[in-house]
Amino acid sequence: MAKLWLLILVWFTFASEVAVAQAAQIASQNKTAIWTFLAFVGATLIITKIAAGRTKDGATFYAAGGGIPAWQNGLAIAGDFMSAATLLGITGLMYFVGYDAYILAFGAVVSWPIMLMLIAERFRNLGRYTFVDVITFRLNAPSIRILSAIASLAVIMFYLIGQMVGAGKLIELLFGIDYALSVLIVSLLMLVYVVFGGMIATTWVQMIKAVLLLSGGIFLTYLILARFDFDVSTLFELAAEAHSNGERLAAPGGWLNGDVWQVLTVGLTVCFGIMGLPHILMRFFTVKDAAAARGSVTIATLVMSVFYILILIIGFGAVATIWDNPDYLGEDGQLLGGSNLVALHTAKSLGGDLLFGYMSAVTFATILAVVAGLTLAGAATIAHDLRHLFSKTLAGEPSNELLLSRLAALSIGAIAFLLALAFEFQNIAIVTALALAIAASVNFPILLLALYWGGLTSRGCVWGGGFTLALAVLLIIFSDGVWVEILGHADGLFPLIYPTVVTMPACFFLVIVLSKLDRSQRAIDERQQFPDQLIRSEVGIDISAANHH
Amino acid sequence: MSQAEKSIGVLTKNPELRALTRKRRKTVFILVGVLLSAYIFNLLLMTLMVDVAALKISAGSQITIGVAYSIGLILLSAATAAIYSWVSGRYFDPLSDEIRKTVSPEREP
Repeated sequence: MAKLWLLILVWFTFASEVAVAQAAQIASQNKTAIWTFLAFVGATLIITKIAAGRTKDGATFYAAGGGIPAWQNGLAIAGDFMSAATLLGITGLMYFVGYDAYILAFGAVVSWPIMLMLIAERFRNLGRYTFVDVITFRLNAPSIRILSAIASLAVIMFYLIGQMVGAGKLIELLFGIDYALSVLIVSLLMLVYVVFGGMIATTWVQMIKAVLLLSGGIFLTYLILARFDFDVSTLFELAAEAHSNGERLAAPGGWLNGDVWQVLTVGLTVCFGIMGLPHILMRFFTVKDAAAARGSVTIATLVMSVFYILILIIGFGAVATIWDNPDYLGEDGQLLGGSNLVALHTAKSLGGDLLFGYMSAVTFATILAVVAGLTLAGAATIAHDLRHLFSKTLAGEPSNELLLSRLAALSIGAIAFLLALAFEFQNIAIVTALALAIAASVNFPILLLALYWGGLTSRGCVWGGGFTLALAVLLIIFSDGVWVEILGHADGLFPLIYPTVVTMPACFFLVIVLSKLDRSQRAIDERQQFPDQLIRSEVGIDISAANHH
Repeated sequence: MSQAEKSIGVLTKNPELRALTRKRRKTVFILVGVLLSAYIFNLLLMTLMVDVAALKISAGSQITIGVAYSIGLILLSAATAAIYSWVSGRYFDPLSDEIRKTVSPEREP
């Protein structure tokens, strides 16, 4: 433990050296943002200190001992999911392309009730800490644990890199801090939350962030509506008059051009990708039982429904408010800071420096909350799901499991930091797309089949899932985003933004066919265990024993 | 054989469990079916019915059918979550508790 503190101290010393050099510059940038952010960090660090005293073993580190009330977990789920991409990305895209961007919002909201009804309760009844626990409830081959962990880690790392690079760029723009230092600050804070406070601290960070984000969003929406006399139709009319798309702004076609395959693949990726995100699924284990898991998702759905309706008002409000406003245009006539700053420019336009500062700090808090959740899920995957790969001495004792988890979190933090530096000039949308595409193409089909289909076998899962994982990565490489924009070829080999419309059905098909062809003794045993699993998942019988399988 | 395995052995033939499973699946099938159909319809509205989606919801309003439908879909999602949660708490949870009591009386409140 002392070595761990030493390691953190070294990181902080390095950060503070660089931070002092930039302090004067930062102070002149935006005082409200700095004070709001410092208040958030101060409060969350105090919570982390308290949480650290309660984090004694793997159960509290990964799942807060299953003791989080449903309403708190619901808020934390909302906080975990509503990333900077939601507030900044969707409003930014909507500002430029109009209605088409809203598919990212309603697709996400639809996902939650489906996850609630198909996954949440059964998931809570069968698992202990992670997505892999549920998959391996009756699938016993070591390879299935490794495949699930790889798919899980791939999603977490790609998602984490996307968030970290986005965070670095955004903080650089908002606070005037160097990119590398911005990424370092995010890495350090997320590590402090996760390494010392585990799931308890992460939950509180996510809850506070959800409240801040929602209150900021509500206030910004209020200001927008007040500007247009609370007449939404007038808001839409003025937005259409201002925008170059005119009346087509509120009609489909601005982004996906009405292409049925593009719309379908984006729709499938958003809706089903969320159901395969390990850091979201992991939150179901932080409550005491299936009913509490159900309550959590219901609350999260209600919170997100409100938020995503606000996003529509903010997106169109931004067009009506700041489109062609010279205060927010650079010398080249482009929007200052690009599409990601649309919501913040709108905040500044309507609420002045005070609201701009508040929303900037909330954005920073948003990023911290999401990366903390991702790091924790990654640590759980390495230290819990892949524990059999470590020596028995290291993985056997409960205290060693906690140490292993903390070391895993530190490793993930360090790797994410280095990758964020390496990916600074890459198209982050591709990395994030890969994460969601893998989650929708591999994690979701395997999870659904594991919960509902008795014929599923380890062999079908490993070969079908493994092939689909490779196919998803390959098709992303062949798409325009990588093949043309990064590798410099004239035309992409795969015409769609995401591969999900191909890979998700492919995964279902391959896993089912390969499982049916599996005649091994292991397959027979696994099929025989399904009724047992079904009963446990249905009524939560002997939940503690199930949790320790 | 552990207590849990004995309990599950007993429950395999429990008619109440079968009834619970059937009722829950029927509810989930209907609600997921309605929600997914509404979602797919929104995707089709964006592709095969672009002109319909671009129509205004009423004379004088600038809000399109596409926007109104998507907001309706979000509200439907929230309503679906709330309905399932209520039905589960009202009907399925008591049934589950009864079934659990038949095999593990020590869990009674």
